[in-house]
Amino acid sequence: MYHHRRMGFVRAAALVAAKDLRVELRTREVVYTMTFFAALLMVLFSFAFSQGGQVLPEAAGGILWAAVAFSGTLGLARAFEREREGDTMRGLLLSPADRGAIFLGKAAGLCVYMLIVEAVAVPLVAILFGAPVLERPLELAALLILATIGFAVVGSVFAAMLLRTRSRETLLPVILYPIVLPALIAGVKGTAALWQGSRALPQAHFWLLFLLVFDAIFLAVALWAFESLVVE
Amino acid sequence: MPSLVLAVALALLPLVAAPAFAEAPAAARALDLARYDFDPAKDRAADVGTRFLADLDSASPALGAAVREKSRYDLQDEEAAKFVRQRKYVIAAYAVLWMLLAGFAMTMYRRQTRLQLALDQLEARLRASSGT
Amino acid sequence: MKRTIFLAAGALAAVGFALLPFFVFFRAELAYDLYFNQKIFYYHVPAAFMMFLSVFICGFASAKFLISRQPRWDDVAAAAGDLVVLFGALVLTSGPIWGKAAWGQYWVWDARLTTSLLLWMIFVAYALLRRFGGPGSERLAAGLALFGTADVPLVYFAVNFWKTQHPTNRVVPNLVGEMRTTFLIGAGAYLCFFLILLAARIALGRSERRLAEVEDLAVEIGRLE
Repeated sequence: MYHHRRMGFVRAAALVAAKDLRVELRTREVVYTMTFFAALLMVLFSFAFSQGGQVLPEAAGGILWAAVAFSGTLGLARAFEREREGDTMRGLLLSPADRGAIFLGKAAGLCVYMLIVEAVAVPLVAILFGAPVLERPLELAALLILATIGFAVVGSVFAAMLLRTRSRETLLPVILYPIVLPALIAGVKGTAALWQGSRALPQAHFWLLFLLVFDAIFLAVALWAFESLVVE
Repeated sequence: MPSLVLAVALALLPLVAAPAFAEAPAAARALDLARYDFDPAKDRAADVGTRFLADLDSASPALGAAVREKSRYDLQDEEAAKFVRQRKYVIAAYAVLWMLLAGFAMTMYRRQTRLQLALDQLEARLRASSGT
Repeated sequence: MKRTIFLAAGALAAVGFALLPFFVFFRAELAYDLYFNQKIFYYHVPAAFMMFLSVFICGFASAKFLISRQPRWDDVAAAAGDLVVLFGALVLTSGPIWGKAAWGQYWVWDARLTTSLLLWMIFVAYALLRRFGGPGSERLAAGLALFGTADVPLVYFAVNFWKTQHPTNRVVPNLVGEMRTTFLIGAGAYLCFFLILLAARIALGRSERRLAEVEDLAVEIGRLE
């Protein structure tokens, strides 16, 4: 006799995330390419912002965030392209799990990829541009995590929606960046405030709070809208 | 007797001249530059000028009028130059606004024409298919 | 009834736009210091109002569409999204020209300018999505409009503490005399014009959609191949 039981929301999300991470662990394709791309971007930006062989200290934060955002889009597109290739998104959506849970699982997987990239990118910024990343490590980590969550949430919604669309590669960054721009502004400004020393600390805290609000709003909108947004 | 008249006149003189003397300190003040120190917390730049012109008028109405006339000329030149310079911005802004609106109207019109065309085609095809 | 309202709005807009230049150039006082270039105000500010109005109409219609799945709400959202791009373009071209006249430079990275620019870019992305998204992109566009509308206050707060040169919200309620009359005429004319454009654009989108539906139907019942 079948004992039909609706899977727990959190458990379903965790399962989806674990599935994504297991696939990634076998190939390491997404994380390797994202990390290399982030490093590549930093080298590229160093040309744009260097003066007499030295990069302006204010630019280091901007370079870090630009690298995070661009490599994040790369990972986002690839993570969902995988689902499209095997046509597994349909399977996921047909499963009895809550669609919100599926979405959260995908977003969580992406968060992990991005955090791995950031774990490499932050030391690189310190080495290449002399950024004082060890000044306020906890706040910096909080900024990165909160902004990454916001980016992953918004990005997962749009990437999932775009799966069925013809020109998804070009449309994803075009619609994603304007929406996540407040989070990126908060990241850049918050990092700059952190690296300015203790007198700018209240500003950094303001940006942390701002990111918290951003995440809360978009998580709510995404969970509410995901159900009706994903066409199948 | 004339000396008595003179004495009375001399005695009355201070009374008659009192207003004139009362004016005198104002005229003297016109040169007291400390009175026109500009304190941004207390007054606008124009307030200082107003104070100075009031003092100047009370000291010498003719001089006050002359200063006003001069600043009126300056103002006219300045504003005329400003107008000539700014007119083109206003014209440019209005031109761009109306061009954008016209462009939008054009795209709407073109879509409407295309829609009409598609409608006509559909009608023709439906007629053709029902005729056979 | 609808037709009467439409025609009345058209007549009001026509009268308003005919009167506006007269009021702008001959009745409104010259502004202190800004002088003649302040006359851009009477076209710039109502356009900005209409842009924000359009953003909220688009967001509201998109939410309604996602809930009800009725395509008529999608038509409204598409029309309003287009008008955000149009009125945003008006604001973002007349603004820098005025900026050049008043501040000496076309663009400053000021809170209000950045907010408007980002907002406009979201809706340009929306227009691109509508155009290149292909079939089935209506719901995606609705999602984008929803996220975009939720973004408005965030963008505003993100840039709000930046050093600002742009006049604040207090300018409009504090207008006096003929300036106030002129502004009200301008705002009224713009509002009527906006409503007409919106109605016309909705009707156009709806007709296009219905045409496609009729074609599909004709194929389905075998009258067309």
